[in-house]
Order: sequence, then C-alpha cells, then structure tokens
Amino acid sequence: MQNIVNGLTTGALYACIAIGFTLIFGIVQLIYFAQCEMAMVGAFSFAYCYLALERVLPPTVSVAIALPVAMVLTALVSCAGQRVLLQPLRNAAKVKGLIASLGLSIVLQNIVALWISPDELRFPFQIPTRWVVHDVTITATQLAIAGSVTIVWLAVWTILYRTPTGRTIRAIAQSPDGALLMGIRTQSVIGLTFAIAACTATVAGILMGVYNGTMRYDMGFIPGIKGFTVAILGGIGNIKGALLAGLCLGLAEGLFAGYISSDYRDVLAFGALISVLLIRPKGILGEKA
Amino acid sequence: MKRPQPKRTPTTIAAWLPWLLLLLLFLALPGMVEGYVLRTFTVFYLYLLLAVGLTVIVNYAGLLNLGFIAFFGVGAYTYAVLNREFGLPFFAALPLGAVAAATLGFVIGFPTLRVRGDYLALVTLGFGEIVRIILLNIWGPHGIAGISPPAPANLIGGGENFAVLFYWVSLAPVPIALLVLHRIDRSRVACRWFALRDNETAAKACGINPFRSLLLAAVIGTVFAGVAGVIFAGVQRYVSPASFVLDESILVLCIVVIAGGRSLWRLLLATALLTFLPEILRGMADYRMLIFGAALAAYVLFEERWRTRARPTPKMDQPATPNVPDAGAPHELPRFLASPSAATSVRLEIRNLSKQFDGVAALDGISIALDFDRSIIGLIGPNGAGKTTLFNCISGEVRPSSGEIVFPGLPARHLPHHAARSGIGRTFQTPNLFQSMSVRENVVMGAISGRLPLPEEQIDELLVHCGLSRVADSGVAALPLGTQRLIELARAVALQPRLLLLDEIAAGLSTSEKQALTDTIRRLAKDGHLNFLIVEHDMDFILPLAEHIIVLDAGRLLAQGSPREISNDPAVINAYLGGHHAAA
Repeated sequence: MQNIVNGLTTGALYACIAIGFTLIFGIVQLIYFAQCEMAMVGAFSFAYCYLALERVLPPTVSVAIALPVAMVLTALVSCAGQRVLLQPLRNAAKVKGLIASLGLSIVLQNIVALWISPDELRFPFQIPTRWVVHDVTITATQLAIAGSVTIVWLAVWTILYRTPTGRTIRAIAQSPDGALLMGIRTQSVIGLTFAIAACTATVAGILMGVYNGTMRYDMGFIPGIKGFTVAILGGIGNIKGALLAGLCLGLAEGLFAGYISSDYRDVLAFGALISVLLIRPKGILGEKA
Repeated sequence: MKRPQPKRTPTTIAAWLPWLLLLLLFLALPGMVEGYVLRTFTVFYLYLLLAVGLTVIVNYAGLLNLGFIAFFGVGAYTYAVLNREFGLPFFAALPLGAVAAATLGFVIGFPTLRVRGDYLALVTLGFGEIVRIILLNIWGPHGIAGISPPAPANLIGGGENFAVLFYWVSLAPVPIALLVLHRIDRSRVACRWFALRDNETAAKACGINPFRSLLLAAVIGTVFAGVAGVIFAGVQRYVSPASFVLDESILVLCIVVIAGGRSLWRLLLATALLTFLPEILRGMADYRMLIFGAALAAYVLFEERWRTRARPTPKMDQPATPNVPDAGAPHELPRFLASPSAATSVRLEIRNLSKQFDGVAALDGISIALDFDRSIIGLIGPNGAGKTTLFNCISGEVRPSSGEIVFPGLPARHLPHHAARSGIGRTFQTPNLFQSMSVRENVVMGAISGRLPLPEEQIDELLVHCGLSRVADSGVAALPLGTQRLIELARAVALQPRLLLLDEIAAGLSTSEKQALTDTIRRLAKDGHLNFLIVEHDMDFILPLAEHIIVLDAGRLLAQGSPREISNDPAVINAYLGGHHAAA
C-alpha cells in the first residue's frame, strides 16, 4: 500500500515533466533534451529566491513570490535556448536539434555544478506534516504534489483547448506551414510553448526538491528521461495520456522497487522506454495535437 | 557532408607519407617522454579507437548512438571478469572482448534498428544506462567498487615498464583501425550507408537492405569499442561502472560530431583536441564537460549555418538544366540494354490481392496475370481506384492484407529491396533522389545492388542516352522536375530490371517533355528490351504509349485490353466520367 502511494507520487512528478516534453515534441517534433535541466534550473532558482525572501517575509508569502520568479527565470532560460539553438536548426535534420539541446543540457548542468555546487544541497523549503492512516504514511508533500500536478495539468489543458493561443499551438503541431499561411506568428507561439513547458518543469523541479529534500545539478536527468518515456508512452502531444502514463510508470516503479528489486528500478523505466519506442512509437493512447 | 565517390582515386606515396611520419613519431615517443605523457597518449589512442568505431555508426551509417560507451564497458568487463574467474591472459581477452561487444551490438541492433533518428538515440541511451545499472548491481557489493584484474605479472617488471608496455598495446590497434576505416570509406557498403541516410525509400528501391546494412555498421562500430575496452581494463587494472557513464558516451560523440565527416585527419585532430586539451589546461579540468557541451552545441549550430550558406548557386552563363535530351545526343543504347544477358520476357501474376487501410479496402481481391515481352502496360483508374496501392504492393512498400504476388525471384511477403533485387525497378510520384549526390552518383547507386555489375562507361552511356550527360556532375536538388524524373528513370534502368514500375511519371511535365519521355520509354522498351508497367492519370500520354491497358476502379479490376478497346469501353467511360455523364 505504501508502495502504491509513493509510486503514485513519483508518477505525478513524471507526468508533470512529461507534459513539457509532450508539448515541445508535439509542436517542433524534436526531443528537447534540455527540458530535463529546466526542472533543475527551476528548483535552484526557486530555492535561492526563497532563501533570500525568507529572511524578511513569512514562508507562505516567500513561496508565493519565489514560484513565479522561478517560473519566469526558467522560461527565460528555455526560450533563450530555443531561440539561439533550435530556431536556426528548424530545417536541419532533427538529430542536430537533439545534439544541440544535449549540448545545452550539459552546459546548464555544469554551470550549476561549477558555480553553485557539485554536491547534493538541502532544499530549503519543506512541508513537515504527515499522517498515518492504517500503517500507510501520507505526507503533506505528497498531497501538495497531487494538488499541484492537478492544477498544472488543468492549466495546460485549459490553455490548449479553451484559449485562442492553445488553438494556435495545436494548429502548428498539426501543420507548421498551414499555420504560417493562416497568419499565425509561428516563432512566437513556439517560444510561448517552450515557456509553458518550462513553467511545468519548474513546478516539477520544485516538487522534486520538496519531496526528496535535496537538490543537485543533475537532479533533472533521470526524471527527465522518465518524463520523456512517459510522454512517448502517453502518445506525443496527448496531455491526458501523459498524466495517465506518468501515474502508471510511477506505480509500476513503486511496486517493482517494493516487491522485486530497488537496484534495478531504473532498468524498468528504461526498459519501458525502449519497448514503447520499438513496439508502439505512437504511444499507448495514440497521438493527439 | 561529402559525397560518396565510387570513382576511385589512386593513392599516392605522398598521401601516405604524413601518416608514416606520424606513426614513426608515435613509435619513437616512449624513448622521448616520461610515463605520465605516455599514459596521456594511451588514453588518446583509446579514445581514437572509440571514435573510429562511433564514426562508422554516426558519420557513416547516420545512427545517433548515445550509449556507445556501454560496448566499451562490455569489452572491459569481459577481460576483468574472465581474468578474475579463469585467469584469462590479456591477449586472449582481446578477441573475446571484441566478440562480446559485437555480440551485444548485434543483439541490441536487431530490435532497435527498426527505429531511426532521435528515437534511436533515446533507445541507445536507454540501453547504455541499462548496461551500466546491470554492471553496477550484478556482482552485488563488487558492483560499485569495481573489479581489478591482477597485472599480467609475467609480462611486467615494475610500473615504468608497465606504462611502456601498454603504450605499445594501445598504439598497435590504432593504425589497423585507421586502415580499416580507410578501407570502409572506399567500400560499397559505405555507399549503401550514405544512400540510406540520404533517402531510405530511394535506397530500398535501389535494392539496398537497410536492416542488414545498418546492423553491419553497428557490429563493426562496436568491435572497436570492445577492443578499446579490453585494453582499458588492462591499462587501468581496475574497472568500475563509473567509467562507463553517459558523459563518456557524449565525449566520444563530441569527437565524432566535430570530426564531422570521412576525413581521417579531422578524426585524429578532433580526438587529440578533446583528449589533450583537458590535460594541457589542467587547472580547468573541472570545466571539461562545460566546454564540451558548449562546443557540441556551437559546432552543430555553425555547421548548419555554414552548410546552408555554402550551397552552390547554379551558373548563369550556361543552362545547366536541359529539359530535353542533349542536342545531337547519340541515341545509342548502353551495351547492357542493347544486348541483354537474360531473357526479356517475364510474367507478373497477382492473385486475389487485397489491402485494407483501417478497414477501408483500397484493393479488393484483384487477380491478374501480365505477360511482358518488351511491353509497355498502362494502369489507369479514377482517383482512389487503388492504382498506387497496387504499385506499392508490387514494389514491397505496402504489405498486402491478403493474396500474393508472383514474380520470378521474388520471395513471398517481400520488402522493397527484395523487389529491387528480383529485378523490379521503380520511380516515385514525387521523385525520391539522393539529394546529397550528383546526377551520376544517383544513377550509380541504382547499379549498386544490381543483378550484374555495371562498368563505369556503361553508366556514362546510360546518362548520354537519357540526355543527362550535361548535368551528370551537378547536384540534383536544383534540377527541374522533368530532369529529376529522368534521373529517377535512369537510376531504375541502372538496376538492370526485368520490369520497371513508373508512378505518374508524366504528371506536371510540359508537352515537349512528355513527348521526349514517350520516346525514351518506347526506345528503352523496344530496343532496350525493358518492360514497363506505368500508372498514369493522363490519358493523352498513356493511350498512345501503352500496348495494353488495365483499368482499376474502387479496388477492383474494371477492364483490360488494347488502348482502343479501353477508350470505347462503356464501363471505363462510366467510371471515369461518372454515371450521369455516361447515361446522358
């Protein structure tokens, strides 16, 4: 039972990262490797902003200010990367975009490792409350994760399906040329999509920090890969699929670690990634713009 | 990206001289420098071996691999484990490590090579991580701590000798690896790889088996990694999973991406740059990955910018794009067509062929037998009649839902390259040409898997015959549609086919181009002993050209007969013009 609760929590985190991947892959058909690092950038910028504010303001207010600041910072980093690296490569082979974003990913990791710290740092913001219900421990953090991911998911869904901007995003995902001919400013919409994806990654990064209590320069990598797995599993561009697949992967991992072996837990995720890419690259639930 | 050059340039002593001098320098090195420098060079040689292996996979076969270091790890662990358990000597482990890595390459390549591009990158990354996690845990507590194979005691007499010994051991495979790469560069398989990464559909239509070619690349590449791994374990006398992390894969990828193409010098320089630079800038060792990451991104960016700028513009003073055959071109046929070695009559039989796309029947139980003997048969029908589906079933692009296609030499459940190898050549509605190659290279590629080797001068004759001799050495991208269609036709002819499938070859051509095309096709059929099956919309083009016409409608065979019979058949008129018109 505990495994299920923990599994669903990590699953929600994976889903949160996957939303960003699926948005970006959906719109530019590119594996944006640096999306992994956006979670890390988000967590670090939140942590330092929070530390600065905490001295003068009550914690709740600090969080309320630090969160948007972290989102804006991460979105700026992501959009800058998009503008400088990916936009010139738009017509090149897709693999080049992957290599370039891999380079960006390494650079971001190492900037943090060199100028902040290569070690595991304590995440400054914690929610200590926990309850025990029938031998199952549920922490307030887990509830916060469930709540935040739901909010993020609903927000992205609303943007995509209930706003004119969302319609342009979906239009570009289906046909960039068609969208361009309809007078949509493709480049700015793509930039906006990267910004939205960065915001979701920021939330994911902060939640990871709160959940694990720590942060490190490479904290984004493994969850990022899993987020990508989830994005593929759920079907590219399909944010409902991303949520569902995220919860499934988290649950499967939790059970696998609990009953079989925690050493090989990551093998399960990578194995799932490989199998999905090989057997059903369109995802379990199919693609959707 | 450079083009494959099937034309071989003779290698001169001058070309080899710098390499020999460099080798002499490397050979003399142990007498000149101390142990620490030797160790750095040993590392350099190991990276060079890895880079050679990954170059084959990334730069030749175009497969982005993000888990390459796993094969290096497998080589290293092969030696370490076999040495610890069975006391296997180092030199006996070398071939075993290579075999182990190649086996893994084969086993992993087998399922993964169905995906391409960045999906493949992610799959290889996943496999790399899985291998690392397994190495980390499989020996229980040994995992993280690593394994140390004992030093080959009988071979060494102290640390200094050990360094020198392994300097030699790591140097020895380097010239071999470079020679092998040089040989690969001039091989037919390299041409196949270039064709595949340029345009896979076209490559398959030229009879190239994509799976086998790419699997070969994966296996060749991993052999180098396996050998390097065994040497690494021998040098280090200690292996642990920490040596086989993603960063290392990325480092080797950096070398290979920066080396960029087929030049051995660039490969050597890129390896030297990325292995010696961190040693020289020791104070900046921490910045290693940062610099590599930035270099990787910057290189890709600038390479793309440079590539798009450097595109040659066609010269204005001479029309490089003749739409019609060269003026006064001798219309003599290439020898392989004028006197074919095999019988020209062939029978294509389609038995009860059906194809459903998501429940919609594109082909609905078609049975037909076509006897070709220097014949031109037309396949017509209204939009959605299933013409292209039938075509794609014959050429293997589409797998039929039921029924069979019988053609001499064609296996059941065939793929495009099977069709090409059994002598079915084809062109596409939208030309599929190798964009990175010249006109001549495109045509040569058609002969690469042909049933018989095609000598250089016959390629020239074919180019002249198709009116392509004046554009033979220009790139294909800027040529007009009519010329591109001719190139595709010439490429299909170079396959020395028994049957040529032309898919709407006249669509979008001008009247004069159509006339020239009609003449070419008729000449190829009558004097060149070729057989044609032509899908066509344009009745004015196909009726005078074909001797026999097949009409499809709604996935069924509607009629067949001579052009005259067909043009008077009420059912055909009905299908083409719609019921109301026919009734009126």
